[in-house]
Amino acid sequence: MITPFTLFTWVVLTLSTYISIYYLLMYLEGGKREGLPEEEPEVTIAVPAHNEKGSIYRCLESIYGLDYPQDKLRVIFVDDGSTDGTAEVVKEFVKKHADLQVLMVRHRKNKGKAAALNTALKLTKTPYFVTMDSDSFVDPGALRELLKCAKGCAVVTPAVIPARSDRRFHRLQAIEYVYGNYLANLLSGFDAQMVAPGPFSLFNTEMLREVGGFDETSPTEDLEIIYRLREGGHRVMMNYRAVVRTETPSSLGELIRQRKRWHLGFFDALEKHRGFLVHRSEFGAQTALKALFFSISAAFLILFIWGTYRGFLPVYTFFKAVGLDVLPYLRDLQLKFDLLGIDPQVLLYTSITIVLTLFFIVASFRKSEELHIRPLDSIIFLMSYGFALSVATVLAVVSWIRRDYKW
Amino acid sequence: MVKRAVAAAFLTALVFLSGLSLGFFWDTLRTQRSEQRIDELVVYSSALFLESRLIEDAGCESLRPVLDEAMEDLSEALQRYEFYTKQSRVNLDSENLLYRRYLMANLRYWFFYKEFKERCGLNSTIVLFFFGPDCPDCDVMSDRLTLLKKKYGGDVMVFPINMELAARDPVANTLKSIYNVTSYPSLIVNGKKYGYLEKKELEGLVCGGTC
Repeated sequence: MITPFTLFTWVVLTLSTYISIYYLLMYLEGGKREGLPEEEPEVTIAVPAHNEKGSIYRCLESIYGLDYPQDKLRVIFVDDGSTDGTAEVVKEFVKKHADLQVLMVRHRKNKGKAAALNTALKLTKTPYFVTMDSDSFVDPGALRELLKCAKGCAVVTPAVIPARSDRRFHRLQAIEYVYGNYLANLLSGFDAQMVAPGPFSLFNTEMLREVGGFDETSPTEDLEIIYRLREGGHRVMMNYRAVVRTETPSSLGELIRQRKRWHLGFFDALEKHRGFLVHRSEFGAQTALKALFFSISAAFLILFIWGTYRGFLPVYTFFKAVGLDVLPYLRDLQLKFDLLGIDPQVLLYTSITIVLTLFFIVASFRKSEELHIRPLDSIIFLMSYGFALSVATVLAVVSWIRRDYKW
Repeated sequence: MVKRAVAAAFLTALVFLSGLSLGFFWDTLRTQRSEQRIDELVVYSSALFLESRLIEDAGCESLRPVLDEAMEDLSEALQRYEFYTKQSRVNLDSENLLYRRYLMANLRYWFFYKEFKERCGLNSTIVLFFFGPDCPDCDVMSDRLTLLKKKYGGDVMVFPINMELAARDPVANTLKSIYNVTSYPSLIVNGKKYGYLEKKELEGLVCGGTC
């Protein structure tokens, strides 16, 4: 019989099929690139940091290693109330690399990353402004790549990949990053890029000032800024060949916390710019799809709990009835495959989504020169990663409803 | 963008509908399979029923080999029937006719075993198991009886009667009044009625020292 559980499953699976098909159609269409190259303009790189003693030196070194004329680079380091001696590390760096122009600014109190970026933006005198997370490391060619399509764009975003891939946990995240970069690149072809990642996004200083800089109340200012730039009618591009590496969470708890903040940032931006949900543009469609995606993600967790509860009752009855006398069952165990026992409908919906997801994973790894796919990882990824993200989504929804914006 | 959204919606609808049709097609196959299994049982049990009338002439020994095999088919057919009815989109058996056919076959088996036990001294315990809807204790008893069947094989014969599905069945109702069944679960063992039993009690009752 069709139970509410069955119906709910169908709805959720059909909606996720819709998303997969929509992306497949985008993939088949291909999109087109716009944006013109710039000749070596002057660029300011803003590096906000709050207690990043461990990574700041390497971060600044990667900036120093950029393939770009030293005299056209300015670095503004904003110490956002660090108490761990980050500033001392930076001073030491500056002493050793006197040929790089570094301006050091300090917030006496921790004001948050958006505020730190705004401080740097005020001091910026160059036509281009690059944000740089202090836990990230940029590849030497990245800046030139970003500038290749900077003219006429408000933002050019890079491809972000994890700095570490020695542990499986980081490699699983790498799959998501590579996949995410691929989709961002696809979206960029339709002028629908959705986020300007904290590590090494290149902004047009004028346009950024025009919309008022970064939102200091947003959990994710790098996502929110895109919405305001779009409202201002500006273009956002991605250059897949500009590579920046970032530190990624090392534990599941840390990962879930990070994602909770990201998702919360999206909900917050959605609330502030809800007009985009029904905006007749590709960016509007992507906003709606992303909202749909999060709903499905949360629904999956509900389905999982609901299904476990449904499956729990027979198991409980069984153990109540039989106790630990399970040996006769094990002796009698026969593997009987009953084709008619399978539900072909759910199987069809699920396999279409899985096949299309795998297709995009494979496509993104083929495009990426950085990492090579490991079949075992991608299976684990499909099975477990989505689950962890569902948990983060639900936590984010709860925080959003409760207006609990601490992270 | 609008075109793509509409095209995606169209394709998704196509996927949804093909899934749904495939599901309905599957249900037809399931019904057919269930019907076929139950038909086999009906034929087989009718034969047994006739043979029980002939025990005196045919002799006990000639019937013994068919017993164990027959029981296995019986419980498997019921399991499949129950599973398919639960999984299917439409009610496979809205008038419960299929179930009643199964029940008829089941009761013929029961009849045959009772007869065989009396006349030929079969060493098995025969259990008639009445259960009804919304009855957690029935589920527990059902699991316990399954365990005993697995443990002792042909020494324990269980004949379940789902009174929800057999509510309009005259034979089931006659049996119910013969044994004065007023609540579920009810077990009839050696002509006596029992209600819910703990695992040890049930095992002792059913085996009665023989196993």
